[in-house]
Amino acid sequence: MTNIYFGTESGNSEMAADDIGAEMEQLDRAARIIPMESADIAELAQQEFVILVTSTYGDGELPETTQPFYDALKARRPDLSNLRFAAFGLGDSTYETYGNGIDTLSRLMIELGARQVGDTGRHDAARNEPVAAVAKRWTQAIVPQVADSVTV
Amino acid sequence: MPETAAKVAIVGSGPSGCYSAQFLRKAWPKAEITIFDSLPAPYGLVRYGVAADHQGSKAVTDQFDRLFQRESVGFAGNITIGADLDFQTLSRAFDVVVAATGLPHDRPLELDGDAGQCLIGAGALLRALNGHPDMDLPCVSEGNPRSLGSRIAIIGNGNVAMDAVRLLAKPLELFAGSDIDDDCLRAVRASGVREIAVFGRSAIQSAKFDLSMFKEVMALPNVGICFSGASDDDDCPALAAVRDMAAQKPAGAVKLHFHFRAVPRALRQAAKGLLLTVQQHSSLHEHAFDAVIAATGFVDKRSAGHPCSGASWSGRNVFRVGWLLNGGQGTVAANRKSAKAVTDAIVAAVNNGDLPLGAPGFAAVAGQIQHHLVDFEGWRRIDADERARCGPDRLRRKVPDKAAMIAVALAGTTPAAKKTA
Repeated sequence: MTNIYFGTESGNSEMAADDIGAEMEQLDRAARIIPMESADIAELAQQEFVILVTSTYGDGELPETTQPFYDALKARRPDLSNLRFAAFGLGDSTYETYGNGIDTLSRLMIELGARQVGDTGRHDAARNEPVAAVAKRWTQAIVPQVADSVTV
Repeated sequence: MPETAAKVAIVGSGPSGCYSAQFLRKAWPKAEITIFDSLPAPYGLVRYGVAADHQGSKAVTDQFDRLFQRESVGFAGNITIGADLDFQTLSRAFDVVVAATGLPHDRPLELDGDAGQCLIGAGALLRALNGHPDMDLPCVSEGNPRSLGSRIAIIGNGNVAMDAVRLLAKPLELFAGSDIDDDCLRAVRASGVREIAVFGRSAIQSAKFDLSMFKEVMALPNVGICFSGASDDDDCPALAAVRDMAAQKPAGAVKLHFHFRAVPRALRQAAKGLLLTVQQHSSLHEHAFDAVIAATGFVDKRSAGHPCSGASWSGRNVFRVGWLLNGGQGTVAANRKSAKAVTDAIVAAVNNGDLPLGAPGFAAVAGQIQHHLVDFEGWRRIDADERARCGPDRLRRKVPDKAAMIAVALAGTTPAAKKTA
């Protein structure tokens, strides 16, 4: 079972998380979608592999539901050295802080010892490609890389 | 959990209405949910408010499409509650009515004097640039808005003001990939915009714009920046940004002047345009403009009790959401929060017995409106038509005429073939 954590303000990251989960089910991997504001940090630290989905908000900041998740990780500093994660970010390249949200979160995860699997997925709202298509493609690229190193 | 499936009517298909449908669908997988809109096209301000060059912000419609395409939510477009269907009938037919009708008018300026046709609302301008069928700008002739001239004042400095600045200043070639109404854009900019002054009454650190919007406007390649009414004491990221930009590009084809701590007091017509009197720097200053744009918020100017005004609708099963509820605050994300709070309250009210279920739902009103309504398939035909009729540099070309939209929506259908959802 893979936990997919999402943080959102407009609901787009939740939609992306749903789409990633749906594609994983298509690829015979069970997935569970968890809003970051309900995330259990202790549970997260016990996982082998998780997926993180967030957008960027305001002036390069984290969405309202991602911020507490980030803050909790920063405060408790769990040892994530047994954790692998994949990261999918939503943003809008109209703004200079494009992609800051997912990058900020990924940096913290790595600082806490986690290892990133694959490239960070990026959906650019300014490019008119639906989230579903970008999320699906990314999931298809990530899952084989995970299967190699981790039991999912 | 109640046995009976709830029957929900949501009036208004903008963000707060669609998010309400989303949250209610999650709570009640079996509920009958119908979203009504007076226009044949859904999505409210996402389509007609969010600026045409901010397509990224319009991407939330992908979420909303799923309501209609996957989640069995019905779209009843081209139905005006209070006209095509009276509110009382609606309220009796449904267990729950969510009023998500927003605020249709620009807040009037409280200024002495008379500016006549040279004073327009920012909301009206943005709607017109977004191809709204009820285009509401002063016109030189049928459907042709008058030019705003070369010197333009904007009163208010929230995000809507920033949108207005950007849409009036931005080089035309940078509208590639947008869905701007080109006829309107060319008409309002016909004289060549040379100067835009933005007047905000607050200090810069309290200005209502989002910093990213302020920076976006200052980053335009053809603008020169200056500012007044801000000092070292107003230290904040916005001040750092405007100082930086003013130093880097003091001159440009379009001069942008941001006035802070500037309170407009009077506006009158003069020989060559308008004179705006502003209280700033401890005295009154007079500025000359060709047009003044009011960007000071939104209201409903209709009289109390107007049948089509969401503000007039009440009842035990009626819940307001979004701008109608909060007076016009916040963009898409804020209205999602509003929808979450309101729908949580609705679900709680049903669960603790305060709100009974058992109303007949859509079937009770279908006969009265079926011949008139545009369903989601009808909207998809409008959508396809708009994407097909635009040039290569545009995402779509909207039809700013309601009758024409309806004709496209109904093309190739017969009354018998039309479905509810």
